[in-house]
Amino acid sequence: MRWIPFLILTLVGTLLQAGNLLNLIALGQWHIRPAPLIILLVFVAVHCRLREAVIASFLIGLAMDMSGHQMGPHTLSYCLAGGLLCQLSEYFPSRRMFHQAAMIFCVSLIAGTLAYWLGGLKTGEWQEFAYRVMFLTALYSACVGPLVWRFLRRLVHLVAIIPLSAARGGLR
Amino acid sequence: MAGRRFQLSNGALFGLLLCAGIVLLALPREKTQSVNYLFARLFSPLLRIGRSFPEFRAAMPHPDEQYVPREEHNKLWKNYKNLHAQLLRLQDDYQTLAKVRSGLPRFFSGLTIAEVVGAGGGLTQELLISKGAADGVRVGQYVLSPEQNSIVGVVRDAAERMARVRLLTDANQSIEVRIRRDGTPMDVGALMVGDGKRGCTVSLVEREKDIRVGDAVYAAARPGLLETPMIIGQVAEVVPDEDSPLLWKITVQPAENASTLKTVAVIVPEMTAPMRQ
Repeated sequence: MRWIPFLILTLVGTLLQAGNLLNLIALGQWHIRPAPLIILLVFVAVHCRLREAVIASFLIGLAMDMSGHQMGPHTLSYCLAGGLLCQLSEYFPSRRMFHQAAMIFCVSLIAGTLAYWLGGLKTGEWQEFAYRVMFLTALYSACVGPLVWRFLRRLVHLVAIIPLSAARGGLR
Repeated sequence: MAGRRFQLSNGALFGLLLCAGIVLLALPREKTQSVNYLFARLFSPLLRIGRSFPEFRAAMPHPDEQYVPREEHNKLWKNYKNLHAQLLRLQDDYQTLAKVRSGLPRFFSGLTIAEVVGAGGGLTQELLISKGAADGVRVGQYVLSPEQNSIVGVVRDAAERMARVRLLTDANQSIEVRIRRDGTPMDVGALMVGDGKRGCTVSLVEREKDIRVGDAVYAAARPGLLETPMIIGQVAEVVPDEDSPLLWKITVQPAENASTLKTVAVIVPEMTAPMRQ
């Protein structure tokens, strides 16, 4: 994997996540926006070898924490989610948009909830309507994710992601 | 003899990165927040792109007969309420300190104008502003709207050059308030907490108190931080509390939609203002 292009891609995702550009497509009174870093995490976890997926998940989680207000919760939850997803990815199909959306929805919900609990344990602050916001964010990301997935597939060669099917000798 | 390359197994690497995450989680926030501020400072021009949120319903009720534009009406309403609070304060001073010479009371001692860099991120309702401890910004200071006529939040933490403002609508933000009605001596003290969306809630107010929709809600004066009560919003709903039928559950609609602000003013007491000013 070429780490410099991957880091640039992660930085772009972080700026979108933390910035105001996605407000243009925000919905509802809670300003629900899609989560580009989760989409990137799922894509990388499904398409990379375990070693690269774990490191990439860690870096994505770290970027998510850096753009937020506390360090640690997303780093831990994304690393866990990415590693586990990579291990299990051979059992989950990812060719169809529906499967991609389902994976993004589940990972977003699980990683987001875990990060919220860890953040709450660290600071003692709990938010009203947190689960509702996380659910809607996961849903929105799942709807938008397959479109972003197509874009990311075109960048696979740029980032030199070796598809798992090639890494495993074409078993998938 | 060639040296052997030390290689971690996949499992060991995974464990190592999880441990690194746990260490980051265990570090106190005071030590790690500089990383967050550094990121915000480095990329603030890019983060600011697209600042405006989608417009929502206006915070203030629509007048039946509109003689001026709504924005102008809102501005005039807030200024009127603040002047009324100042007048009451002046009357109290005159009655109780008539024999003692006193200076004209001021709203606040000093202001620092700051740009809103972006939202704080995550599930919180916070703003990142471009002024910090070097400009006299400290935790607990009140933050005003650009017209400096209503309170929108409180400084939550401050780095050297940036600070984080927690909006009044954040579920973890509480503020002491006074509920008043024009033409009456009513002045009910209470604690207001954000509801996590676009409003705030006041609870623990006895039902004996005559609170009505439209009553003005002020931030209570705090010596050194806010010398005269300042308007926050108005009562939007008054219903009996389902958990405690002897109490009211009051919903407050803030006068300002803080999510669209591009600049704010931080009340900086003179003793913490930077020396160069």
